[in-house]
Amino acid sequence: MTEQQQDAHLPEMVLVRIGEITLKGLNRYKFEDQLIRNMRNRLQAFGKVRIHKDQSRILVEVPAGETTEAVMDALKDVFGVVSVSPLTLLAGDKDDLFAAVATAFDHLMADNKPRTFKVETRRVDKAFPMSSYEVSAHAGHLLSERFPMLTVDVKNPDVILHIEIRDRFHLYHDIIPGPRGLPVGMSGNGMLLLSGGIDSPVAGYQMASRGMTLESIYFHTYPYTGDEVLEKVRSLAKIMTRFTGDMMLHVVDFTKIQLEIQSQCPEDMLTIVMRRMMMRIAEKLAEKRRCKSLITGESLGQVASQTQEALICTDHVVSCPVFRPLIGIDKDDTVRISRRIGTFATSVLPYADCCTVFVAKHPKTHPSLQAADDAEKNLDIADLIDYGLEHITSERIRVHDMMISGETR
Amino acid sequence: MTIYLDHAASSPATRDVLDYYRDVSFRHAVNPSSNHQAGKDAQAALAAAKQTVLACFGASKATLITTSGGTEAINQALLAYETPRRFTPHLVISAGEHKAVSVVATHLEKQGRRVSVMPLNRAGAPDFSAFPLDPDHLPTCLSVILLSNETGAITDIEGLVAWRNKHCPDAVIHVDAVQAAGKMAIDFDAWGIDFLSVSGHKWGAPMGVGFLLAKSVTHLAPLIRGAGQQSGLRAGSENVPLVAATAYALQQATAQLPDNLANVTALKAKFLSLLAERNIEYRLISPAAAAPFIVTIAFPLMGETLARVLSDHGIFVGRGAACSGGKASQNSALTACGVDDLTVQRAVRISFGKTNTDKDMVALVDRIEATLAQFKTK
Repeated sequence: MTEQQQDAHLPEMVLVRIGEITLKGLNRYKFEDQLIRNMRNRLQAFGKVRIHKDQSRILVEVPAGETTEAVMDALKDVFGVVSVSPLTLLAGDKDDLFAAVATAFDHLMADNKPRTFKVETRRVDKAFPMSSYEVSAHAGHLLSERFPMLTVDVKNPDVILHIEIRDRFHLYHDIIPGPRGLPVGMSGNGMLLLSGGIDSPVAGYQMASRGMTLESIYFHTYPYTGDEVLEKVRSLAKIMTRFTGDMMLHVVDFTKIQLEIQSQCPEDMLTIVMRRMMMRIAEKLAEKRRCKSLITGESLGQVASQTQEALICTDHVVSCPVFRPLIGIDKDDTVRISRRIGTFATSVLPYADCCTVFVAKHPKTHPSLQAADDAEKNLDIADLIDYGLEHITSERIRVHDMMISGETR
Repeated sequence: MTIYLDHAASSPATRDVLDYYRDVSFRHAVNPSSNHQAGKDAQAALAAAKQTVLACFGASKATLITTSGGTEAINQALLAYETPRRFTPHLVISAGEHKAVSVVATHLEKQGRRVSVMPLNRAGAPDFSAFPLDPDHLPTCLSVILLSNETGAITDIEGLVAWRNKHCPDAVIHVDAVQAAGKMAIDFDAWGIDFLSVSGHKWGAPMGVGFLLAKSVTHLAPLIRGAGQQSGLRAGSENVPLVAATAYALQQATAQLPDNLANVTALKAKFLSLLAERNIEYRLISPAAAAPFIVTIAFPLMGETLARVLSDHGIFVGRGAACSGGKASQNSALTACGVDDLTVQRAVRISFGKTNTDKDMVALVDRIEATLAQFKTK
């Protein structure tokens, strides 16, 4: 300790580790600043929160009256976060340090009872009178004395007590993994085609994990699909905001277009034409909203409209890139992610959506581009796109709303 | 103005019935189990109301247990009936039962009870003559729905009792009359059945009360225990005004049975003739012999969609069957009587009551016609 800081009320802290961002060279500060903005967005409900940058880590002060757990819970799903830990911050000399070390496991031993442990010390403040090794050894001795059933295992311990000797002492042992990835906002904007199903929220999650800011578009076909489906899509969007931050949801009144497709196109091409119309409207909206790409939850071969030929037919009608992060992902893995991010239970609510209402008995699985173009020859496509764009209701789905309504995963 | 055509789901109480409920509430604002004079007066009113209910169902010798509704009455009968020790319990239900019965049966089966399902005949009623009897495992309890909530099909109870008497005389018969009560004559004693479940709000009583009629309570254990009300069979303070109003509404419904049946028969005929007049494509799912109160019918449009559009125009009908992700519910009585999946998905349930008029039928058919013109699917 270079100076004695006798602050009896050091705030509780949450230590946030950032991984990939630290490799970003000269742009690194941009990534860090964006991450901190995103963290503040998730912490809105806590009022003013102090956040400190500290080399490759970020320290968040737990505001008075809030719990460390609540702050960690709000931060553990922010993309760019590698892990979070509750951090004990101490001022004082080595006696103060070891007094804190001796009791560091009291809580843990009451709860999950680890059997083996290890102490790791980093000495940044080289003026400290003991070496890292000496600190670890003494701390290990103290803990073994206090909990005789606890033995040291340096290779594969159940728990590691980290001691960092800086201008103050940092103690932590609990490390909760974050979602990793890049901070949302660093990779431009994309328009997600969101349905009520399992795949599209996962696709959005994957793109957001690479730093993309999402807006979403949903095609509503009332009265074929009820307002309960729209509510389901809203709920999915709300759950996603945990990861994406606030997100725009655009709802297109698609019924008239759907009926026109029904009456004017051959039955075995209905799904392809419907997908193409959705892509066209989504692209136009994306342009307006300054989104540079479209995102869908399609996975190769999953259903008739997701064969390679069908995807070629839908891609052909748009010029912006269409990202399909699940294209090579097995359904089981998508379901696993869906469960992990908390969208699964909502996705499987039993309401018919447009994909299930308007399906031909035997849709064409390998349509040619020519066949798709021919199927649309009776449609006034420009007119239908305009109609779609004129019948959009947009709303902002906020992280904060989810917290207020008490909806959690 | 709205047009209510979902009487099978619940038949709204009239102002007269609600006034009666309010009057009794003021008159007997005490616990009928209290020992003071006011309590005794309330108990007397309650007993009189129960006698009225028993009389309406031709059940002068039965015991009446007041419950929270039809589902509780059914649970009381099926879950809490203790089969005499000399028999191995074997519950037989029909394939057209309401979930209040079928889910209880599944629950019992999971607990190791032998449960069998009796198929439906083409008219949508339980086909007991086609039920394979195993002499080593004769049924000990038969549970059938009297009037199907999904199709309006009527079970031949007298035929079932004769069949029971001949083949498995030791089996008790539980009749789920939740949909039937207040719509058709029920003759509990004469039929020779053992249990009958009913629910007040189906005949125009306020919601929240049902009854189980039991020929004998010897083998009946309580489902709800507590301070021993209703001879220990169903604990909890009894709701005098609610039971009284329910009896009052039942008395009215029973007196009006023939008129109501004639009215509803005419409504159904009017409805079908209007559909024919306008050349509207439809498929009647309710069997020809079904009670006219319930018309389950399919148009060339998803039932869910049609019901939604009708609702937007103030016409309230029921859905034919629950739709899960575009697939017909596995439990549907419609599927059980051989209706294909597409037709099941297209089904709506239109159920008439005494408030409905010919004018309602015209408005309904007008709206169906317009909806099909706008939203009909290939």
